[in-house]
Amino acid sequence: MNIPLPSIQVLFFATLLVNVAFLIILAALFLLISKISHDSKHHAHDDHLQNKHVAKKIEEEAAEKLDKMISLTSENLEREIREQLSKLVDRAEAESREMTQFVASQEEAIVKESQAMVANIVAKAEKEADVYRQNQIDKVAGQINSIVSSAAKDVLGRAISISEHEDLVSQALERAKKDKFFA
Amino acid sequence: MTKVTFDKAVFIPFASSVYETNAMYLLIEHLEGLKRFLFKDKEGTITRKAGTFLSSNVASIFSQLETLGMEPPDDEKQLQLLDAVIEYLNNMPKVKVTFAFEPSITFINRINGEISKELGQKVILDISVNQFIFAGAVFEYNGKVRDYSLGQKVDDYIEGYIKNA
Repeated sequence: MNIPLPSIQVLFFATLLVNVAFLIILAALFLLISKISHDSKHHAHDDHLQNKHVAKKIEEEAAEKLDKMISLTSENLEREIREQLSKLVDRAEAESREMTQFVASQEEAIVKESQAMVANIVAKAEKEADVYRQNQIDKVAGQINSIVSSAAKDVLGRAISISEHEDLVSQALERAKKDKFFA
Repeated sequence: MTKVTFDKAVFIPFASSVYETNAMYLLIEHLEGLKRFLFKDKEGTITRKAGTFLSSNVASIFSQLETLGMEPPDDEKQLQLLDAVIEYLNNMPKVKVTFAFEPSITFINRINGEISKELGQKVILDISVNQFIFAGAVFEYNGKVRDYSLGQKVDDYIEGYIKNA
């Protein structure tokens, strides 16, 4: 396709105008941004100074309030501790008194129980000794009786003659017959 | 082996010769010993086979049986006779008697005779001596015991005397 020369010139000129215009706009934008940046830096510095001042003031007030609070809390804490300690001491004293009474009562009970136990043992031992003594007396008495009885029977037995023995056996046999023992 | 049944009359002389258990056991022992002689000589009577082994009273009894023809002729039946006599003696009724003194044979025979008469059959006395019954006798027969001694009376008397002393 063949484009005529004047048109190319017009196009070239128009392009040139557009580029110049674009450069001007860019320059204007640059200037505007520089100004804004400069303003911004200036404002930031002011804000910083102001903030620093306010922060210092807040810090001072906070420190003062904190000191007051700590002081108040310490007093409360000390008072509470004193009260609790006092209660603990009272309770310990009361428990100590109770424990002392309990120990005393237990000692008394143990002493009484021991005395009763010893008394029982003594009574039981005396009773057993009495029974044993009586048994031994009975045993010896029985042995004496047995010895005396044997001796008496031996003496009396020797006093019976053979013929008397035979007569007594005959009498025994007659009684057995009468009793129908062999029937 | 043929089992022989013997007449009761065969046992009477043996039973009549003993009155108490000691004599009875001696007789049984004698009869047991007599069995050994029955295999030495197959023929003849027991008195001929046993010879001098026999005591005079046992020899007399066998002689009596031989005379009466009550003794069997051969060894086997003679052995049966001895066994039958031993069994008869062991099965005789026994009366246990306790005396306070040692009785004489004559007295034992008399008591045996009286008790046998009372029972209507020959008995054997099982005699024991216990001085603690003091006097009299204790009889035991057929599971029954009866005390006719003076032991208990004397015990009671002595016990009462000791208590009152």
